Amino acid sequence: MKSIGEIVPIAVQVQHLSKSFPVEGGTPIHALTDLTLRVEAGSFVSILGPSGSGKSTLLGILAGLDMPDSGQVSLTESGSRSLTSELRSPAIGYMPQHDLLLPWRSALDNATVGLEVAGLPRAEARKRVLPLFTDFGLGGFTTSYPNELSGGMRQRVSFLRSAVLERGLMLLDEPFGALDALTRASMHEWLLASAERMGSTFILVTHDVEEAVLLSDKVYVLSPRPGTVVASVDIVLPAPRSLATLEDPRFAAYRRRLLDVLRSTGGLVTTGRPHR
Amino acid sequence: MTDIRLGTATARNLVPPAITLALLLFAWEAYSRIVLDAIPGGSRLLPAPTSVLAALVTNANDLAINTWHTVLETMLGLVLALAVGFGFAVIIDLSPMMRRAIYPLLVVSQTIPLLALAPLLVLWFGFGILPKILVVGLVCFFPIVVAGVDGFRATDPELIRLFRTFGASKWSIFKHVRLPGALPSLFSGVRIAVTYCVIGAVWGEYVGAQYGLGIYMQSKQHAFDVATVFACVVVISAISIALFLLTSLIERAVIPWYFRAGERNTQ
Amino acid sequence: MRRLINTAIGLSILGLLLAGCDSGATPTPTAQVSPTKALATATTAAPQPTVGGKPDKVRFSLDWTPNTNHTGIYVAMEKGWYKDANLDVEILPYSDANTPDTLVSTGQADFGISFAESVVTDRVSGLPVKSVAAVLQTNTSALATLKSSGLDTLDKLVGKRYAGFGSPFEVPVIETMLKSAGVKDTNFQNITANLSGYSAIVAKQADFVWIYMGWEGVQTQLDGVGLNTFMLKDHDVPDYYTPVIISNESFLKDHPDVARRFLAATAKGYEYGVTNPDDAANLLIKGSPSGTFSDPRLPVQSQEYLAPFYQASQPQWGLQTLQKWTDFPRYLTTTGQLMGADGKPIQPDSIKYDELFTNAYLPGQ
Repeated sequence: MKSIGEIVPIAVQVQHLSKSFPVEGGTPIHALTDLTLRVEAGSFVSILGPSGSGKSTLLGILAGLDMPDSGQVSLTESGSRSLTSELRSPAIGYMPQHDLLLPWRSALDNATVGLEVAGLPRAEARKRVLPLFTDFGLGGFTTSYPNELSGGMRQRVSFLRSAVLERGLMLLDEPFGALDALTRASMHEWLLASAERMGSTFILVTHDVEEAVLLSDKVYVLSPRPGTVVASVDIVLPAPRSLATLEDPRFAAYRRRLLDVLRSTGGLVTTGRPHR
Repeated sequence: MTDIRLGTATARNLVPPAITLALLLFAWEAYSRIVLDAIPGGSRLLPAPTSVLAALVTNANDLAINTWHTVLETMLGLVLALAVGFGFAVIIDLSPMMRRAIYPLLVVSQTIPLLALAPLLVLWFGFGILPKILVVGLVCFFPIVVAGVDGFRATDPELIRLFRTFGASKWSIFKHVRLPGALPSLFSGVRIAVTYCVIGAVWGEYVGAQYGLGIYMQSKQHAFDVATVFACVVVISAISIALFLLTSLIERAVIPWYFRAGERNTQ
Repeated sequence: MRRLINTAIGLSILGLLLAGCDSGATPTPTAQVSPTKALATATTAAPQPTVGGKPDKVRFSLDWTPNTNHTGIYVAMEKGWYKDANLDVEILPYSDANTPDTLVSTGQADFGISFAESVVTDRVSGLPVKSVAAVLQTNTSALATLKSSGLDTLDKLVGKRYAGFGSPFEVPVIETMLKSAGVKDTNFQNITANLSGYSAIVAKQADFVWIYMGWEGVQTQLDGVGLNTFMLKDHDVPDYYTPVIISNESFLKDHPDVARRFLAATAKGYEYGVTNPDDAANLLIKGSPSGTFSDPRLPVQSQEYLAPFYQASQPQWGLQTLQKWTDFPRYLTTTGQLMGADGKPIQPDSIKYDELFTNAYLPGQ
């Protein structure tokens, strides 16, 4: 296995994707319809959309957990070899909406569980993960149990668990939605740094416009259900990005533009930042 | 989850019931000595606590021999119940078809009155230890199955999806996620089971045995020795309580995280 | 000793089903041995016990925890008389739920303790059970009230509470007894209580109960509890054998010699109980599982009480008469409570009284 920094990023191409869920005794829910998008290898892309626009459904399909009704998904390592579906899940790191830490494992052992599942002995997995604890701002909490950690720390352990798998594509499903504004801001800075260091491709699902602008190279806006791409906006902001980027007038412009798109498609009822 | 936990009881919690118990025993002693002893044959109705204590001491040898048999049957039956109960829980959890095929039958098995079944077990398997183990197993396995199935079902489906992205196999998910997650529920099933299991063994002995508290108690009843019958009851209760405490201790050792989380949540 | 006769019926039917499953224990109807035939076989078969060689295994089933009804068995066991007869006798643990009738009829026991009413019930439901010896020559059952209750004559029991053990024959038997005292309207409250009748009257939860003079009767004396007692046999209830030793017909047919040796040693045991009651009681205590008796005075005094009834006026222990095996079963049919395998009441003429028992395996018979 490679250490972080030697990850081969993956490019993603999604074409004409549709997915509906049967409803017992009712009409099926059309979650996605004719969705097409492209994600460059090593870039950070946000999928922005109102609640119920099928964002999580899209991630499930990208992660190989769900099958689309129609359409195609292709994942390509930047070396150009296309990945078959068996290869897909070991190539992907998934960070769920809730931290989903195991209460019976310490922070360190939660972070190693992915490696253990991949067949690494626990001792070796610990050896590999331990140095990263400080980098992730978790130093001194290795032996703490999830119930002893703050929400932000739990999210970081959860992220670390996926990150140490060194996958070329990281899928983040609204990971910061449950955090308070302050914690979320620090998590944003931290994620920017981590993404930079890893070099993987990142796809973040969110309904937070500011978060999307701050973190992404490109934002795809989805319509309300059935979700389809209604706009794609390339975000060009000076690197390295940080919380100071929020002050940049271009940041405000991007934000206004995305809000306008959302409003015009009925994805935004009130002005201002959407709250959970 | 409702649960009865060990160790949270402080001296403050123990003193009031101890006083109540002492008063109750005193009243009982007085009633036996003053009221019942005045009636011819009255001591056969309710022996005084001190008579029960005396019976415990006098018959210590016989009680020990018979207790040993009962405990052995109980433990073996419990092991059987754990193995079978856990096995059924896993099978039911793995396959919805098996769930439909097995679960109703398991429920039906619990509606069979032991009163009717235990004698048959003796006819089929004789007077040895086997029918007793089977009675204990039958009494105890059901709460374990139910608790196990509930525990497995309580696994967060998102967690399973997450582990699938790790490339985890079904077995790996079972080992890392479902089994540890089901343990608290399983243990509450076991705690229910251990409170029944001694009674199961005594029942098994009641329908025919060479040794054991069940048959010993019956001999004593037939010999009009009510004090020793009560002594047997005391021993049976003591075994049940000891098993319950032992289970709670094992539980604390096996799933300490569950108690930590619980303490935090109740703060 | 005390047994739930209705349970016996239920279990007899159960036993019948089991006997059907267990082909080894199922006798063919033609295998039934009439007393005369049995006698013929008895004389032709070797009367001398075969001593030497591998001992023959005999399994004996008890009806209750060991007590003075079982004395002869334990005496023969402790004295080594079974061993001398080249028998390896195993006393099966007492089972509250499986009667000796069930165990004997299914072939899980070779001999067992039973009662006239059970044997009749077994036979009419088709179980291959036969009485081979009477343990006591006389029924020692009685109705009892507390002396302090003032219920000193049977007619005073009208309308009172009776705590019984749920046998279908209790009510008719008590009615017969009340009628013998001139009572016309024989109503009383019948409560089935699965506990010692003695405790029930002491606790004043019942006014009268059914006791065995040789057990509860002795204990009440030890406890200084005064009782009024009314013996069944003295109040128009035909005397019957309770308890008896039963065996399985096919066992008797296949192993007449074993049966004879077993009953010879057993008879010696009971006869020892007649002549040496105290020593016999001590052998009973010694042979029973540790802790069976709490107060040795109970078995010793019970033994002294029962000693005269083991043999009574008979020339030897165990003999049964056709008279007693006819009078009481016939009486049972008049109660309307004796049901055949088809669930219909048994008619007096449909019972083959001489097939209920045999003396053929008793020593010298």
